[in-house]
Amino acid sequence: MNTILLTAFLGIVLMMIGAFSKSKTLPRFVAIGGIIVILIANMVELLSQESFFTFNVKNMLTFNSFNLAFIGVALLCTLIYFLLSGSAIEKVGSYVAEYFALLFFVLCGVAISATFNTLLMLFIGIEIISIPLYILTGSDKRNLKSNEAALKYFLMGAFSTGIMLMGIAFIYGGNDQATFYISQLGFGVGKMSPLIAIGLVLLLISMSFKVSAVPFHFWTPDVYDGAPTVFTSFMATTVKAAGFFAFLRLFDNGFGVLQPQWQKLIVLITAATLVLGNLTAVFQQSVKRMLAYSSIAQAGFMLFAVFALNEKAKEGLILYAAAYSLATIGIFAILIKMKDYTIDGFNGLAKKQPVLAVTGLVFLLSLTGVPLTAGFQSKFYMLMAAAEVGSYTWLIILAVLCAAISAYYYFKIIQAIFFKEASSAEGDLTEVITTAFKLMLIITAVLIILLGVMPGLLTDWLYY
Amino acid sequence: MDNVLQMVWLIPLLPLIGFLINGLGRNSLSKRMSGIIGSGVILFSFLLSLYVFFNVKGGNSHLAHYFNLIDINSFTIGFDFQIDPLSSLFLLIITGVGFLIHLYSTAYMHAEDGKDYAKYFAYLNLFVFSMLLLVMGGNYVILFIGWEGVGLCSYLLIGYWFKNVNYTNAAKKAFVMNRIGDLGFLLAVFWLLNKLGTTNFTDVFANLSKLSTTDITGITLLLFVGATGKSAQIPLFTWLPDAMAGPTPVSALIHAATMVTAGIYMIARSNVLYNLAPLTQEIIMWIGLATALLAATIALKQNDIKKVLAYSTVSQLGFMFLALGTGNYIAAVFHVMTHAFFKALLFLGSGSVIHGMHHEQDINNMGGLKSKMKITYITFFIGCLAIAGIPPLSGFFSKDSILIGAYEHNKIVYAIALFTACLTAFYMFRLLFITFNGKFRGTQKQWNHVHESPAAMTVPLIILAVLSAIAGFVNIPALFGGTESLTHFLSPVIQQTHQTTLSHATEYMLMGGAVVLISAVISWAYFKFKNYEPKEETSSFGKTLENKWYVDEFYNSILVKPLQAIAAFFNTIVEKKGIDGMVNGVGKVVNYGSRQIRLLQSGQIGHYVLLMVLGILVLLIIQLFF
Amino acid sequence: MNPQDVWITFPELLVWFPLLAGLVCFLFKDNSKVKSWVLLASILTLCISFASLYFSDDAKYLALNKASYTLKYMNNGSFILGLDGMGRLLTLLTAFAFPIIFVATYNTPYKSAKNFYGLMLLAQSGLMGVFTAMDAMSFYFFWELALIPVYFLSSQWGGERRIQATFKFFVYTFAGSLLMLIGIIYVYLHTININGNGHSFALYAFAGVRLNPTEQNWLFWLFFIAFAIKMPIFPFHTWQPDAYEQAPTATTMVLSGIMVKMGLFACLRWLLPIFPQATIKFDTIIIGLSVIGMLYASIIALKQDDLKRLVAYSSIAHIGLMCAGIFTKTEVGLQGVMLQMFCHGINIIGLWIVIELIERQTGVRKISQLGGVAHKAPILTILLVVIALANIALPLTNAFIGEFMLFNGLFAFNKWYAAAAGISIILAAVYTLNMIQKVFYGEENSITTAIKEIALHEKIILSVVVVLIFMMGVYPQPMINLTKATVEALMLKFN
Repeated sequence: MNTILLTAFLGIVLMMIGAFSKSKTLPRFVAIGGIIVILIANMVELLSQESFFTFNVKNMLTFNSFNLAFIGVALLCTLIYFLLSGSAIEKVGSYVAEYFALLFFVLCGVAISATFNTLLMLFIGIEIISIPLYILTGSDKRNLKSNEAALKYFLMGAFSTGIMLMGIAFIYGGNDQATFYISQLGFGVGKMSPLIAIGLVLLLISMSFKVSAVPFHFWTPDVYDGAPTVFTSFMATTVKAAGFFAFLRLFDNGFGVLQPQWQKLIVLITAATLVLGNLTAVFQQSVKRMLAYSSIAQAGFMLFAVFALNEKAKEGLILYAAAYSLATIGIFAILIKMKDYTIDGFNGLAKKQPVLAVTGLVFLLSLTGVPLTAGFQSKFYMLMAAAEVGSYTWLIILAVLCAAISAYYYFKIIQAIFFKEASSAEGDLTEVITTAFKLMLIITAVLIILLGVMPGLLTDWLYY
Repeated sequence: MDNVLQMVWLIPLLPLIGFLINGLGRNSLSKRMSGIIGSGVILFSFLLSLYVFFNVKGGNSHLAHYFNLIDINSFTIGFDFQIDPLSSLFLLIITGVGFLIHLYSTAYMHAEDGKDYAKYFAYLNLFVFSMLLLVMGGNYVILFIGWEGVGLCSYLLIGYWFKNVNYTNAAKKAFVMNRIGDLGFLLAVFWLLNKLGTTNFTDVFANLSKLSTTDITGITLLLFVGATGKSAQIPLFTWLPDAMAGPTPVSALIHAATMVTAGIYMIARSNVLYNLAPLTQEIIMWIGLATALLAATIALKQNDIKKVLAYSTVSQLGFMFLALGTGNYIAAVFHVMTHAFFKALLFLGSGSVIHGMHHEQDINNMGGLKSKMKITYITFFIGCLAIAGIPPLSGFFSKDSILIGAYEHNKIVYAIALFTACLTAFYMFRLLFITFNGKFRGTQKQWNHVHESPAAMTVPLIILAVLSAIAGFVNIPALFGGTESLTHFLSPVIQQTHQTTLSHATEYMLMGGAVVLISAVISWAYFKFKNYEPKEETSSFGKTLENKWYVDEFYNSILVKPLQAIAAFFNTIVEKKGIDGMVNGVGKVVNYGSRQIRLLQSGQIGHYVLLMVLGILVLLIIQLFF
Repeated sequence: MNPQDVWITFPELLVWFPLLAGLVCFLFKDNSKVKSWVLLASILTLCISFASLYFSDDAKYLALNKASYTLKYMNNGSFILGLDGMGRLLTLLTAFAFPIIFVATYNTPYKSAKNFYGLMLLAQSGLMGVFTAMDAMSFYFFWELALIPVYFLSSQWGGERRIQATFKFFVYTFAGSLLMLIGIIYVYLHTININGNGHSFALYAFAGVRLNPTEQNWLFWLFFIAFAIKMPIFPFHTWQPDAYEQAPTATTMVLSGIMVKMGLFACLRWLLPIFPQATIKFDTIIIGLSVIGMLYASIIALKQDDLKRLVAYSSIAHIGLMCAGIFTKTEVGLQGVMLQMFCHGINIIGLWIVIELIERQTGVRKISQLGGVAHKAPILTILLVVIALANIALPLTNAFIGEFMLFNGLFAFNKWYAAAAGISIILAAVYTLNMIQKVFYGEENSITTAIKEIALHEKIILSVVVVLIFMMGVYPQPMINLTKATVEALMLKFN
């Protein structure tokens, strides 16, 4: 509850700042300060199990430690994101305060979609996430690619919104309780009724769209590529994680009982996402675009949570959200500093910017899933969760083979950084790198390794 | 006596020490010193061996256990020495002849500079060490250690002048062919270990009842394969003639007197085993006979003085295996001994000639040397008589007992063997006459250089000549009122299956016949070659002989060439294209797939929506109807 | 004194000390000092390793010397290190190898040496971890961690085709170990914890796991493929020659001397005890593969002109024999593997050293371009000949004992396999003697006239290798005793 209200409030505050102050840096500091406050507030709520504010939300939102833990992760990632890329946000355009405001509204949506308990809340949450993102995608007004991306995103987003509403309608009409409360949906016994089935599939599809699972991922590469890189970084991490969290909760609390009947769909989508995401990423020359596909590939792994729906899966998803977001934010932060976004742009970085090189190495290894990094642990949890299900072993084997393929494109960057020579001896590959930035990168890398050795540090919050 | 046998370990240890001193001090030692050390250690071992020899007379045998080489639950392999009449006899031959050859070498190798001189003696000592291990070993593993050790030393010494590619090739060939045999040997050892859990001679021979006939036949055959490699029998004999690339004393020691007889020793040692394997014995007999004949025929046409001797060695070894095959082990061992003397003598004699002729080995460029090299000539002559088997020289007795054995076993075998014996006489005297009689066919300059060798070389010649003359008397057969002392000496360790049952009359007849024949052959050879003029070989048969029946070429075309071809094929096609191609193929497929699939991302919203709708339909259909 | 009384036990020391020492390297400014530092560090590690032999809490090296702590937040609190006989043997090998390597390459210049040596020590730490890991989780950790530094060493300091060659090696092994990871997870889900609730990654839990035949069969392969790639055995071997050829020789020594043993070790520790039935079921196939590989590699070795590739293929042949020895499941075979793992490690490192010395002086590795080295560097030649002969298992050298036992086990398993495999002995003699003849004998040529006799420290280090070769060739019993208990424990699984 704290998060929802405070993020909304902060969003408004920032808009005010935008209206009355011309300072370019003020919003960033307010935002960072605000995030820290919210994070603390959220943790307090998690520990004390009660909010500062008491409303009767008619149980349309639930604030258990699982949800709050996830919100915590999301906030933490955003904090690091602000600290690493905040300055980059200021460079996007002239409406700095508004950008931050929109980001806070997104967070508000994240919080809602993380705690929803009725289909309506889910819808509202998802929409609150999406609409600001349409704007942010197009925020680089003078850049045609950015505008095109925004338009694509908006159109297809509208498409999926429609599908989602339809799905909700079907479910509402179809369940014999005629309720929106996902925990009270009644499906009768035996094979589910066509109404429910259609509704469920439609919801599944719209969620898949949000988490860019194949074949509903087509917007992802274009939008991620077109949007200003800083916002791509945000979309690809916190937002996507939130989408997954909503996905998991919807199908766990809502349709968990029917799992045997829809599991095969998830299996199909997972397999498709893994294969297509990894395969396509191999060929990309632009790191930004490659990361877009890698986000699809990683989504394939996260889908295992929805596939398994067990304790390990929940721990795994939280862990995955953190690991994946941290690594991706980190690598994007470095990417933003690069002058040349192609892989060759990284050639010889190790000589010129050792810190960036080494931290970048950690991020990439984590994305590959090499032991001692959070990335490994999260993949490990997912595989474990899937293995506990017992069926569909081939899917797991497919997954690890895809992980091996992913090594192929992540290591292309590593090779560029460490083993290739820069095209010109002098002349920097990057813009000026501040010590603070380096420090933040190191902290992030350390966090990743810490989670890699002791994932329990995070997962234990679920059972607080 | 035990206290004596307590220190048998000194016998091999001394040469090892000599090897270490000469090996490590090769840069600092003077030639004189390394010569003294090299020969001295052998002399001491010889004296010890003598001591041991007289202690085991009367069949004492002594097993000395030092430590465990391998000790695991399934079996234990100890580092054991077994001293009994058989091994002690070999000890004498090895150290005795070995010492003479060391002595001889001090002079023969004197041209070498200090380093290489020391290296030479180091190798020679190492060889003696391994050879002693071989004959003293108390189980097949220790025997094998010596067995491969001598192979290594032979490799090192053949390739002693390692700048010359042909020499190193010869060395390689020797080692590899030995290795082929060794594999057979090893397999036999594994077989024993797996069936009996031990390789100690005593335990093995005590438990033969546990072995099936197949086991015994298999084991004996595999052991024999090992023997063919080491003792240059068909099919693995071609390395020995090439081995003549080594210094002549090496040929005398390793490739005539000792190493090549290892196979005979090993089979004689395992006589109990072989007596149970008649099939193997038959095979051994025929292979021995064939080798003897084949080598003898080749020797007829060789013009390199050492090559002739080499083939004669192969042929004599064939005789020994013939004896083994007929269960006539003692005769074989007897012949080993006499052969050690006269063949060493002949090699050293040839060495003396080569020395005198400044490394000329082609007999076509020799002749009439007897005037300038008296001692060498006389001793060489004795050697020839001995090998030809003229009574009362040693060769007569040993070869005769072999022939008798053959006669009783199978008349045809006897006939062939006798024929081979005549050939032996023929080519040996051909060699003798061409080399020493007639007039000199080399250049005048060479003729002036020709000189008798120094005492260090002639003394061993004389000693060996004496030995080859009298050594026969240690085993005079009964019909000459002899006591057959060697037979009695060896009987505790060797169960002769062959016991002579012939009437003395027959024996006299056979012997007489043989002697007459051989003498006839010799005189024929004399008239044929006393004024020998080298001429181009014309008859195709002669050519075939000259080219050693083209055996090398044959092996080359059926083994070496195909192997090379296969290797090339594997290396270029199977490995690179095939297996690695498959591995890389996976990568290629991924790349290709990536390039294709990425085309889906056309950038047209229309396409995207279309594909999404398709996806929706598919999912709905699956959900509703499957 | 009993390791339990020590606040940190030998397994941890062996893992953490090289790790810290390695990290220290990166802080060095001056590259000449770092050499002395790593040398010192590696020697200290060696001392620790010796001490671990001496202070073993059981004369028979049975006990696992387990005082390892558990990281609370580590997966299921599992992080167990321990040393049994086999562990001691291989940690000793690892501890031995590095000082030798450092001394041998002391004169080899590496750019940014501090990173180079730092990574080397990290690799050592990873290897130590693999050999001491007593639970599947930390085993998998170290299994991968040993790989990463080696990957960087090769791609950074290797030959001109280094990037592709090493990357192929990396992806290949990475894919293999991911499959193993699935296997680990599945076995884990079938384990019962010591206190009866939940699962456990610990070795004892894995060894005690109940699996029905079908599960055993496919899990067996998930594990085995990972190990097969690492060893490597035919037909998973094609990464090896390229990797060996391209890596800097110091790294090649680590790769071929120790890393390939990881595969064999893993079979002994993580395959046989967990999947006995499957092992029995598939032994023929695997031994068949190994034997084919031996012959295949030996034949290909005949055609190699590059010294490194030659040794690489001969190594494949040797590894094949060891792999076969493992799956004979006979006492003698297993003992042979244990011993041979150590011997092969020492010998092949010796060979690499010689190659390194020649290449450093002449700049070539092509057999066809060399010749007559014996005149210029007699001592080098003698040492090389001894090592080479050990490589073809001549009696009284260490490899003879090992291969004798291995062939014995193989023979007990099946005569014909032993006979076929035996042919590789002959081929080994052929290509090894060829190499000696072409490189060291004959007349020296324009390239080799430059060669000088090797420096003192190089003589010493090679002599150490040679002495080891003979010591273990004449009196291998101590080594055998070291692993006796491990072998007996393994044998229990099969009768």
